Amino acid sequence: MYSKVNSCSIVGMNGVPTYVEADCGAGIPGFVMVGNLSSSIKESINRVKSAFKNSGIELPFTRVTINIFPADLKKDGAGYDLPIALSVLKALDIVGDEVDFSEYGFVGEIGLNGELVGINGVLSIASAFRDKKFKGIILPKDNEQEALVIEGLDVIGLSNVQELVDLLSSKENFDNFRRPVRANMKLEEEKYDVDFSDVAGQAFLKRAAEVAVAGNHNIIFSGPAGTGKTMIARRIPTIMPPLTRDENIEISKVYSIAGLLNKKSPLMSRRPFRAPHHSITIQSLLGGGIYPRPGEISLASSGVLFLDELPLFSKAAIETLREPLEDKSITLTRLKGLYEYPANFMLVSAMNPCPCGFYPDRNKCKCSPSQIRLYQRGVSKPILDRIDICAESSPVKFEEITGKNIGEPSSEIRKRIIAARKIQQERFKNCKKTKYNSAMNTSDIKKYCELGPDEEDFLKQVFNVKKLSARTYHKVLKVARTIADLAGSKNITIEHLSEAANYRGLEEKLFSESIV
Amino acid sequence: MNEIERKINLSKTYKITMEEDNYPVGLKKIKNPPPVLYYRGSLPKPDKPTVAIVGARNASEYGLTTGRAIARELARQDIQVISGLALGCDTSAHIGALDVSKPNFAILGCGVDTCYPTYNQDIYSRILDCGGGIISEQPDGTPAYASNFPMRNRIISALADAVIIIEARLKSGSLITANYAIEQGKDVFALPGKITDTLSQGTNDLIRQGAFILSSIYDVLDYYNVSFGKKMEPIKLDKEKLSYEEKLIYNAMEELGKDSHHIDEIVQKTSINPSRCMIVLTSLQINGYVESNTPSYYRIADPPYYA
Repeated sequence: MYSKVNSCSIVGMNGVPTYVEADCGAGIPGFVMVGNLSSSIKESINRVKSAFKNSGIELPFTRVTINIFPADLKKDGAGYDLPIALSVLKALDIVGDEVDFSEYGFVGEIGLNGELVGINGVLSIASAFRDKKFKGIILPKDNEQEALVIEGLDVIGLSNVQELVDLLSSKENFDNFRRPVRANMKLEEEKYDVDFSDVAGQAFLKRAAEVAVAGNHNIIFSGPAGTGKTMIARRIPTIMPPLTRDENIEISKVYSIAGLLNKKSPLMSRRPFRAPHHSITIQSLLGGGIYPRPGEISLASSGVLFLDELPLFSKAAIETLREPLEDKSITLTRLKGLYEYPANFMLVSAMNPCPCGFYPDRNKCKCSPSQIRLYQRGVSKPILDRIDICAESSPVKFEEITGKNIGEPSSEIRKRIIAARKIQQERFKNCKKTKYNSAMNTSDIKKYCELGPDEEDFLKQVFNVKKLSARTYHKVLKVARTIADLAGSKNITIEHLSEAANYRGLEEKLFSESIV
Repeated sequence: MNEIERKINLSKTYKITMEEDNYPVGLKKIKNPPPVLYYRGSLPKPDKPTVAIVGARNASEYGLTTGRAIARELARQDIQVISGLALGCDTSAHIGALDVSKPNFAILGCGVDTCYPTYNQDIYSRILDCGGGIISEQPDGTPAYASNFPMRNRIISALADAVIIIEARLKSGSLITANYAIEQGKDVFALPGKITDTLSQGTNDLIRQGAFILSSIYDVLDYYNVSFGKKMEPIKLDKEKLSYEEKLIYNAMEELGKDSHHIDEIVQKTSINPSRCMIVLTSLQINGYVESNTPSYYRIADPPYYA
């Protein structure tokens, strides 16, 4: 007897439909598995056999050949246990023809006791089935909430192998099987445990963060240790606009593939904030492995990638961020194929002014000028080139920490940011690539950041007195555009330019010819 | 052709022995003058006053900015500045003189063909370009041995008519220079600092021992009795021209003191929101009322001097 069951593999972010075939016939009893399989799938048959035994299903002595196609795709992962089990049952006629499941997809892992175990990447798999116009998906109960997110699929969650046999034993059983209700989907509400009102003082840094988020500009905080750089960075997701559904599904897919999705909620409840340690390798930053998994930049997509102590990161790792910062995605090339992951993150970084963190307070800082320079030069210049806003934190005074005046809550700041983002949406509605002010290219800047003669003149003077390098010209214009949007102003005025110029200067300081 | 010739001449090392006429007079007078002196560019002119400005390598912002300003104003009055090309205060002294493109001189502890620290390569060539010189008692090819540096300090003080110590910890190379200067009968000026600043303990100690207090650049200029033609006056900044907000912020900064202040401090003092503060500060900066050496920090600008 021959059988065929629909299943799915994950390549990069997307599910690719695959088919599990089984055929039984004469020969030495046993199982043969073919079809370009990884070892985790080859082991699958042993799990399935034990699961059958422990579920009270007896297998006859025949030779079963199992094939998974298309054969040119290397298959990996634990999700093939369920389709393999079903194909064997069907081929051996233990499951009959009562129910037509040719338009259902099957994924799931099986334990030796016959219990079905949840797998990673169900969001991607379910949307692949939907795109394939399948009627539904049958998978472990653990994953049913996640599959429900994709609308238009009949989702059936199973607890064990016995339930699978029961489900497919008659049309009546199949139709009456309990299904999760989409309306009862348990979506967690957006909630952050931090808020901007926790930050006392640092008014300048907070304003810089607001401008950065409004235009989706990358930002670097520099300043002495313990002044609240990290504290503010952690609060940046709280002022970003709430996740849209599309964004949420996209980022939830990444988390699902990485196996990091909260089991209680099928979708992300908030924007990601990823703060990898500075010892991170290229592979864990970009994504890696023989069958790549998303790296930190993809996990931070739609949210914040926070690099604390930027000069301490390995230069090789940091330099790899260049392309993702431009393309907003990362393509990993491996022997087995190309894997593409989103990398649409906002880069927030922080650095101390010197190894000990106290420079320029020379009573505390004993670092030599060359140590300081070496440390500061640890920052990659090409990456600094992609950071529009630099903000220096102020040494916190005791009164500021203990001060009673509570800062503005995140919700208030967010209102202003949403308004500024709306203006940008309107501005770039006909652009394919550009969505925010930060993504403007030279021709966009010419078009949207037009300056009057007075402003032009003023900007020249500012560059002169602040000794800014010419290459920062466009960054000042982009940031000024965002500040104007925050103020609801159509034109960029001298005031907007003044403020924008205050977010520059770090580059000149770090890479100037001398410390004086 | 001239330009190329000039460049070639600047990269030549000259040698001068004690017997020759233009061997610096100041050096002949000391106990152990170097028998041979190597230099690139030129030697300090004997008919012009010369001041040495030295100080700590790990200098504070106070030392760096003051050192630079003093060197600049002295150089503007055609006083030759000499220093040791080290990082920190020495560099700021050279840069101060270079700000007004006046000849200044660097005394090295290694051969004059070696720029030590290499980081100052740019300053090294700018010194030669503006008619100054690089001087050492070590022949070309001598690396920067630490043991040579205290010895070169005696040349710094010997070549100068007066020595200014910007910042020094107790027990530091700058105090060695000061001691040589005292031994050689030169006048020593010390920049006073807070008694709590370790970087000013050395200079404050010098003052206690009888060094001149350097409270303004006039202290040195008066000492030289330099005639200006007419007396130098700082330009009075007209505060009346300022807008209400500008005045508010400028006054607040005056109250906070002359150091650099972070925008946050000004925000706190005036209760003007940070965005507005940045706008006003930028306009003050463009009009020369305040200056900014570090991003996000502002200080009240020294008014420019007019002769």
